Amino acid sequence: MSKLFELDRYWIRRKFLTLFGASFHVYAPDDQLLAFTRQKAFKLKEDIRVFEDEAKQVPLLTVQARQIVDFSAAYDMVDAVDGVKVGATRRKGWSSFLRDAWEVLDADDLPVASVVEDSHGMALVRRFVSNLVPQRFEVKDTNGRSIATFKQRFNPFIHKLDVTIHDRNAVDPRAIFGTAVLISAIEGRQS
Amino acid sequence: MQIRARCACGHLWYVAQDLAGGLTNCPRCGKATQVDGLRDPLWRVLQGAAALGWVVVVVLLYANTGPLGALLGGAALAAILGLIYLMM
Repeated sequence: MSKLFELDRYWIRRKFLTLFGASFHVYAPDDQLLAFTRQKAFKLKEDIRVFEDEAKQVPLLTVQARQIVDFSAAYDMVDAVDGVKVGATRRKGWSSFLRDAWEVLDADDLPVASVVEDSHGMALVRRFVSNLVPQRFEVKDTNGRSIATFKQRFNPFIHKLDVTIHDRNAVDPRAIFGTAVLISAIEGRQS
Repeated sequence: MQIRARCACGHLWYVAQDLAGGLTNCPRCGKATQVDGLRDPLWRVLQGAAALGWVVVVVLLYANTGPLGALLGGAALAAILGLIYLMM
């Protein structure tokens, strides 16, 4: 398994200038590059590929949308090394109107965790006052216990997301990573 | 309602409709397998609109330019629609 999936802390940086699609770099806390992520352009169905580095020789993970347009969009994540689905992330359609909410599913499509924006108040401020207010997401297991945190850094130009995993055994770390990348790609695009 | 999934290993089985267009692990070999189908209604509307639009364009081309124009225009439009489909 890649070093990326063994770390409890890393951060994702959206590449500022990309001609088509979007690109992300994933760094360890000491700024060592862990992975390079490419969101394919001209695809109606969202398709995100994670590689070991920018050479794109060693694929690590793929994230694919199930549908072109889906109110409660679901994204399947497959470990590119062994070709096995590790889980999925589904956006909670109605709940996300005022406050972004996702749920993480296991390989059998059963919910194992939820990902929710920090508070209703801050979510409303971000939507109706200024989207410069950084987002913060809490990942909780089905018992409501916090297992990870996604925290956006304040930066009006470049989307940076800090990922901290508190409990590695609760949810597959690959699914946590895939969810963080999705949030960077999709929520980042909305702002 | 259940939807068909067929793995590269040859195993065929049925999965819940929620997985339509997505991926699921094959119960036999364990590998991620594409599940048939694009279930969202918008996709069906788009398919219908594209087919209807193609017919209308071909009929208009036939009326205005004759059979050769309709043939070439229809083929060009079909190629464009095919390209869009491949991008999905």
